[in-house]
Amino acid sequence: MTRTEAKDNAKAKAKATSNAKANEAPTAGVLDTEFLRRLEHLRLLAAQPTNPLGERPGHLRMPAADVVDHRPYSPGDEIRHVDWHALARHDELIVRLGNVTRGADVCLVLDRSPSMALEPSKWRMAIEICAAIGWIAIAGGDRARLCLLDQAAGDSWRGPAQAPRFLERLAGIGPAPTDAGSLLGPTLAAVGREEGRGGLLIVISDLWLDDDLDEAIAALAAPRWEAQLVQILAEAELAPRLSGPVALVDVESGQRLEMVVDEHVLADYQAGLRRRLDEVANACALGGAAHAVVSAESSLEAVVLPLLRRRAHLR
Amino acid sequence: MEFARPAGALALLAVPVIVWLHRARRRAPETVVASLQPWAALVAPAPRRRRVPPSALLALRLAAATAFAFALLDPRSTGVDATLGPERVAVFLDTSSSMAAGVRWNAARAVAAEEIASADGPVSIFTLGPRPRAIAVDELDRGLLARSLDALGPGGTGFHVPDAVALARAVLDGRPARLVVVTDLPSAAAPELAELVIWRVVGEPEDNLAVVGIHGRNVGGRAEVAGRVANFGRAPAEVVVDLELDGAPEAEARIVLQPRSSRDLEWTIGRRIERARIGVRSADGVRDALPDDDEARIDVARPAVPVQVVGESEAFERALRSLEGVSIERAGLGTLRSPGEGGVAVIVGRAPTLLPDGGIVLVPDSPSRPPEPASQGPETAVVRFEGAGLHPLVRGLALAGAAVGRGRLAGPAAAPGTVVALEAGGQTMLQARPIDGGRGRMVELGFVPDRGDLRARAAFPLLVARIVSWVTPPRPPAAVPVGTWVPMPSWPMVLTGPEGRVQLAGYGTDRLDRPGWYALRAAGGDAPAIDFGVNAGDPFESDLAGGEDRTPAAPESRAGSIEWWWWALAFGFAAVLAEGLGARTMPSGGRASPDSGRRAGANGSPGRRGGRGGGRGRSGGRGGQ
Repeated sequence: MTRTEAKDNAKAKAKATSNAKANEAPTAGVLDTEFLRRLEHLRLLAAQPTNPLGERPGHLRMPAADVVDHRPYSPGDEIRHVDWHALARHDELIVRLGNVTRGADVCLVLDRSPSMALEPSKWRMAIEICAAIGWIAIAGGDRARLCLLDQAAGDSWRGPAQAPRFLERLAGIGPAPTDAGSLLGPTLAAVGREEGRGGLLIVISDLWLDDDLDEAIAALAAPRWEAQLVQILAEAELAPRLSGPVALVDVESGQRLEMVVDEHVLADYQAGLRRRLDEVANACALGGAAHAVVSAESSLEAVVLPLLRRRAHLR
Repeated sequence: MEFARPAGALALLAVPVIVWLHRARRRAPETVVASLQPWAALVAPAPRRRRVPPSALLALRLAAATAFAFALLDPRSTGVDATLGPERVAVFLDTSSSMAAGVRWNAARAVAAEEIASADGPVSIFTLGPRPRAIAVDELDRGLLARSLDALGPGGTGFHVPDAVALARAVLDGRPARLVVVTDLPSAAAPELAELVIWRVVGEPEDNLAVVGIHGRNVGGRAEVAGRVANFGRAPAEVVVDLELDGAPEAEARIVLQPRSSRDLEWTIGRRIERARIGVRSADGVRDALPDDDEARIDVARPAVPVQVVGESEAFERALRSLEGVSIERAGLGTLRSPGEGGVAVIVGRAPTLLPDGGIVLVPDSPSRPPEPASQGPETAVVRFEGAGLHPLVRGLALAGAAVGRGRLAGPAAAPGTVVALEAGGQTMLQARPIDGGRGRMVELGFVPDRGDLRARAAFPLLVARIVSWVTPPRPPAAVPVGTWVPMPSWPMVLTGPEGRVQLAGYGTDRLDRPGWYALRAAGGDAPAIDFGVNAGDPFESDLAGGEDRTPAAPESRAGSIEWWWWALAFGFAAVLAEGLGARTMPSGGRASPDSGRRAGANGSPGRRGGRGGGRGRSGGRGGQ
C-alpha cells in the first residue's frame, strides 16, 4: 500500500465515521434514516466544483503531498514539496504535484407560497426533494445553501456533521401565509450576487409565479450555474376533476373565476397546461437550465430520484 | 275555513325572503386552486345566477315557512272532526238544594236535555253534589237518558266540580268528551275550570230566607235550643221565627233581618224535650224563593246506647253504670239479641260461637276461675306503659303501675285486623279487632277487671267508656244537611223519611235529598228507632244571589270548530326536519364532485383555509419531532 492509498483509506474511514455520526443524529422526521443511508451512495454531479473547500478531486495540480505527477522546481515553490529522492537520483530539483480537491456549492431555492401548501402532498414532496438533495450534498462534503423564495437570504451547511441541522431547519419551515415576495427573479438575482462562484442551483416550485421566468433563469445562466427547476404539480392540477358550474378561487390572490366545466373545458385545460409546461421547458433550455415536472403524488425514491439521475444531476 | 288570527298572514312574507336568500346564495360551489393561470385563458359560459333552480331544499324551506304561517293564522273549520269520531258529551247536572229555587231545576233539566239532543255521540250524565254520581255512562239511548234526567231531583249541600270531572274521566276511561256543567253557580266561582268545561248557568238571582243552623240539647231538667236565620235578599226583611217542640208550637219571634245578614236566636225551655223545629217566614211579603230551607229540625233526645251484659263482672258493670247515655240490661247467652239500632253486648266469660250484630266486649271470666296455664306465676301483672303513643283506647290514661289480674283472651290473638292496645307482664291485656268483615267491632280484655287494683283507678271508667264508644256502631247525627253522608250501622236498616217514604239502608247513605224527619231502625227488629232531622238550610246553598252569569263559558274550540293550527305546525316541523336531514346529506350546490374535499363551503372558503392549514399542520408536526 502506497502512502497515497493509505491516506485515501484514512480519509474514507473518517468520512464514513462522520456519516455514521450524521445518521445517528436525529433526522427531524423529514426522511427516514434508512432512506438517508441509501442517499449517501449518491453524489451530485457538478461540472465545475468551484469551492476550494471540498472533497471532490479537482483537475488542477498543485504542489502537494499526494504525488500524482512531478514538474521542475520553480522559484516560489515551497521547499517541502521538493522531491528529494528525485534530486538524489537525477540531481535535479523536482516538485511533487498532487490533485487539488474542490467542493460544489449547492443552492436550494424552495417556494413556500400558499399554492405549494394547497395540496398537502405537494408541500410534502417539495420538502422531501429539498431534504434529499441537500442531504446528498452535505453528506458528500459539498456546501448546501437553503433559500426560501420569499426570503433571499439563506443558511448554509457543509459536512456530514451538519446534515442533521439542515434537516432540522427544513422541518421548521412552513408554508408562507401569503404569497407576498414570492418572486423567482429577485431571489435568483440575490443568490447570484451572494454566490459569485456559481454552483448547482435547484429550484423547487410549482412555478405558478407571476414574474418572467426567462429573465429569472438568465440571472443564473450557465456555465457558472448549473440550474435545475423541479416543478411540482399536484394531481388536481395535472388532471382536475371538476364538472358543472364552479367558482375557481386563486389561493394566493383570492381572485374568483366562475365557469362551467365540461369535457371540452377540461381538454382545453390540458392543452393549456401542456403549453405552459413547454414554455417553462423552453425557457429553461434557453437559459441552460434543466426542467423536471414531478407529480406531488409520486414516490420520491421510485420516481423523483431516478428522474434526477436521468437528468444527470445524480449518479 | 276561518282564520282566527289574520295577522299571522304577515308570516307569509318569509316566503319571498327565502326565495331571495336562495337566489342570493345560489352560487357555484367554490373550488380553491393553486393558480388561475391555466384557467384564465379558457372560454366557458358563466353560470346563470339570476334564475333560482328548482331545489328540494328550497321546496322544503318554502313548505315549512308556509306551514308555520298557516299555523299562525290559526285556521279553523266548523263541523265535526271526522278523525275523532262521534263526540262524547258528559253532562254534569247540579243537584244541590239551591237548584230547587224557582225554575232553576226545570231550566237545568231543559239545558241538559238540549245538550243530550244536540250530541251526536254517546252521552254520560253525572250529578254534582257532595259526592258526584254517574247516572248514565256512554249511553246512546236518548229515551233512557231522558228518564234518567226525570228521576233526578235537587237536594244536597255543596258540590265539587273537579271531583266530578275526575269521576267522569275515570268512568270514561280517558276517552275525550265534551264536558258540560249545568248549574246555577256563576262560572267565575271556578275560574280554573274555564278551559276545561263548558259552564252553562241557569236561574236568576233571587231573594231567600233560610234557617241555616240549629242546635239543641237537654241539660238536666231543661232544654236549650238555638238557631240561626238568614236573609239572603237584597232588601231588609221582617220575618217571623217560630219554635216548635215535640210537634207543638212553643214560641214565636218577629225580627227584622238586614239584607244578606243572619241572626242567632236561643230558647231555654224548662223541661226536657224530644225534638225541636225552627221555622222562618216572611212577615212583609218579601219573596222567599226556596221554601225547603225555611225549616230546620233536630232530634234533641238521642236514645241511649243499649248495652246487654251477659255474665257477671262487678267492676266492669259498675263502670258501665257510671256512663251517661248508656242503658244497661242483663241478658243471658240464650236471650242475647242483636242490638238492632246500634247497641253493645258485654259478654263476661266464654263467648258464643255466633256473635250478635253491633259492638262486642269480651271480658274474662270471674275471679274464681284459674288463670291461663301459659301465664302461670303471679296472678296480677303491672302495667308499665307511660300512656303516650299508644292505641287510642288507652292513650293518655293514667294506667301506669296499675296491677291487673291475669285473665284469658276469648278470641285468638292473631286474628286478622287485631291490634294490641295494652300489654302487661308479657301478656296481652287489651286488644281490638273488626268482626265479620267490618260489620262491627270487638274489644277483648285479657285481664279480669275484678282482680288487681285497676278497678280502683279513676282511669278505669274512662277506659270502659272508650271501649263502649269504640265498639258502638255508628249512628246518625241529630241533624244533618241534605245530601251529606249519614253514617249508619253496617247491617240492614230501614230508613223512614218524610211523607212516609221507606228505604233500605246500611253502612250509610248520602241520598237524603229531601228535608224533614227521618227514623232509622234495624230491619226486622223491634228496637226503638233513631230519629234525626235533615235540613236544607245552608249558608252556601241558601244564598241564591248567583246566576247572573248567563253567558256560557264554553271555549270556542269546543263549540264545534276544528282547529288545524297544530296540524300545520306539525307539518312545518316535519318539513324543517326533512330540510335539516337533506342539508346534511346533499351539497348546497346540488351536485357532487370528486374534488369536494377541496371544495369550499357556501359561506366562504374553508377549503382554502383547510388546504393551507393542512400543509402547515403537517410541516409543523415534523418540526416538532
